[in-house]
Amino acid sequence: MDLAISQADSLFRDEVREFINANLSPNLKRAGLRMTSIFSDFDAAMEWQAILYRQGWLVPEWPEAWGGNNWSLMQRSIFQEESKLAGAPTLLPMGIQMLGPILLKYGTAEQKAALLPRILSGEDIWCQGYSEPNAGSDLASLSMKAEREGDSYILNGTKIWTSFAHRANKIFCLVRTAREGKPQAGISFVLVDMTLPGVTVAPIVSLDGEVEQCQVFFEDVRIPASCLVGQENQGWEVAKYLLEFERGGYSYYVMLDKQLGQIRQLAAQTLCTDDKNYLEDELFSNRLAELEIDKLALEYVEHRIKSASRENSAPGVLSSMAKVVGTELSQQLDLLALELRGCYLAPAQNQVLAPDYTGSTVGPEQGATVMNAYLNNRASTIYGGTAQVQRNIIAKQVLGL
Amino acid sequence: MNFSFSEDQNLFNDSVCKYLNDHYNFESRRLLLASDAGFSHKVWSQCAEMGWLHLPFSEAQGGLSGTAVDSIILFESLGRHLVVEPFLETLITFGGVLRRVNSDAASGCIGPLMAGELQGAFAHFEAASRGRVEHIETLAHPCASGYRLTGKKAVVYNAPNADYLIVSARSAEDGEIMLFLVPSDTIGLTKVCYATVDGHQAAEVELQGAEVTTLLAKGDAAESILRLVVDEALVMMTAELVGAMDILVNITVDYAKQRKQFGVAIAKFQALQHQMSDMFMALELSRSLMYAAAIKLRDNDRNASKFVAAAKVKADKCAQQVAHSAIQIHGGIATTDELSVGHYLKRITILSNLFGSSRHHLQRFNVLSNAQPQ
Repeated sequence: MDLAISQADSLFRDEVREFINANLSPNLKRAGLRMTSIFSDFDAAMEWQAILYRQGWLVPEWPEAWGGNNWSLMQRSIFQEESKLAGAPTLLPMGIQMLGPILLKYGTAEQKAALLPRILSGEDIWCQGYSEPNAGSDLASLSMKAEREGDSYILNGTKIWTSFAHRANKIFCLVRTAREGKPQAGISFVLVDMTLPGVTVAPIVSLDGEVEQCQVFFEDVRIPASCLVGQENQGWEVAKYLLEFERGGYSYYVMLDKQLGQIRQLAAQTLCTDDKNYLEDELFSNRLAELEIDKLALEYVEHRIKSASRENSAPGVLSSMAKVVGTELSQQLDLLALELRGCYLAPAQNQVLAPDYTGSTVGPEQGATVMNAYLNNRASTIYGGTAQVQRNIIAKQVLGL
Repeated sequence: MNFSFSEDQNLFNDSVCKYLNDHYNFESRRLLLASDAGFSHKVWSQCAEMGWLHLPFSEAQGGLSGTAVDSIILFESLGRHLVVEPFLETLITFGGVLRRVNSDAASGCIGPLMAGELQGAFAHFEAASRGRVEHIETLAHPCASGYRLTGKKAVVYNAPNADYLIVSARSAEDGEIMLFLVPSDTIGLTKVCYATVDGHQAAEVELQGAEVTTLLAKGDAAESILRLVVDEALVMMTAELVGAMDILVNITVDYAKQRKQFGVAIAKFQALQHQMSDMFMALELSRSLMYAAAIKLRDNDRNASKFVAAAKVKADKCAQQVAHSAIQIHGGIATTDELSVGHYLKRITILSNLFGSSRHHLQRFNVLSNAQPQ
């Protein structure tokens, strides 16, 4: 039992901090600060990706031959913490964190050579085609078809909640290639060029008036059979591997720390009565303290996940727990931010979200994005496995129910 | 960071678990509660023989130099088995003061304590304390032989069986905090003894000019000892809460798999599955923060008190949630004296309120956070 950080790790932290400070332009910093979802401004994200790529820090978890750098879990966590602390934009995960590891494990030599460098360079922007209008939590019931025709597959169907499909040129999809047996057994993983005839993208306007999600339609889209990843009907296994790969990779406490910091700052600047600010208000500050304690508890759960290889507990299940607790806690913090913003939640002013916006805001400048963030964050307990699905997983895998 | 126990700690854990599994079950505990002492002297001497009472004392004192991390291993198991023997009182609070002072009288007590031959109690908190360590109304007036103590101490666990008490007071001369070692048969010290709802023995202790001679510490030294001892006790109470939650999750899940309604095991109902998932999460969140608090206490980290307060607040809330859910899922049977579930609820409720409630510890966390940002 030890909470100590090694000297090497603390030197590493200094190095990371120095690099980020030296390379994070005011525009990128504003992009990080004005995030109202897990995604930052698209252009800022790609600019930051290019900077990290040049530094060799873009894909720590990839093998060295493909651009990885062998960082330990602790180093990756330090990098994540420092990036959030400094207000760096968040990278789009679909290429570097999702498709990349899948190709590394299941891709052919040709697929790796053709696609991995373009992910890193940002030439290809990938999006993820999993959910469908009638296949949400029950993903295995998906029905988008891929029918073999000679050396091609013909795709028909639709994908929804496809983040950044309107900015992407490629999409990886789970498609149905067989109808026999269990629903999971007839699914394949394919790569699709979105410039092909028959692919159309319809942006979805979210509650906050912004577009991050899309619906993508496929009508007789012909792709070469070489776009299959893994074996035909092995798609479910491929998708599940990614879940395993993701385990322990993301720390909710880092995101919550940022949110707590913003709320603290806002509370200190917002008067609650004539003579005291919200931090001095007992009711507000005790509620904030309660949520800080909840954050601390989650933080140590996540530290335990990271060191879990030396423990008996199953890290995968604790990851489900971290997702539930992290997102639900974040939604509770949103409510404190709403209280602080008060009547100035009302003005619709999405222009302030742009990193390069330097004009005025209605109401105080700080906290002008609170309403957007709140609305956006209602999705966090739905995407990536709903809070209910995560509880099902815990019930089944830990409690044996 | 590393959250695994060492080999020695795992061995200690195994031996504690084995002993309690073999010798301490709900039925044997029920018999103990009905006995005069309210606990088993035999169990106590066996624990002494196994060295459990040596754990926190230094090697110079004849002990094992165990840390807070070692002690939570013991207390999590005590919580699992609802052990009523006075470990928290004799070992952690009473013993915790003894091992931190420079006093022949105190040193003289440590040997018999470790041998299981001496019982102690911590007569510190008063009715109006509400968890505030510095709130002491009991007064110490100087007299020819030493001091005369006047005041009342509230709900002093193990006082009925204690040979000695640690009594806190404020000097009638300069208002400073003083800690005394007081034999329980001191004239002017009276105890109104009672059984507690969680199966322990306690007393209201009244001091009416009780003449005492052994001053253990005074002023800042006395206050800092009190704060350390109370922080350590709070972490041990947290560990007991974690142990109790651990058992409640297990027995509730087992019960849900066996109990049939509408022709199926109630474990098949998603509403109950989700409630049990929430119980599991409450347990693991509490456990994680307990580890952090124990490690920081062991390392004399400057944020230790803040983490102790956080761990206690979290465990209080989570344990209540877990106990309430356990009763709800068991149904009517869990509202009876016959089943262990309700007895865990009683212990949890008392542990959550004994040395200040969550409200107090939350405020303490808040003050410490603002004074010392991370």
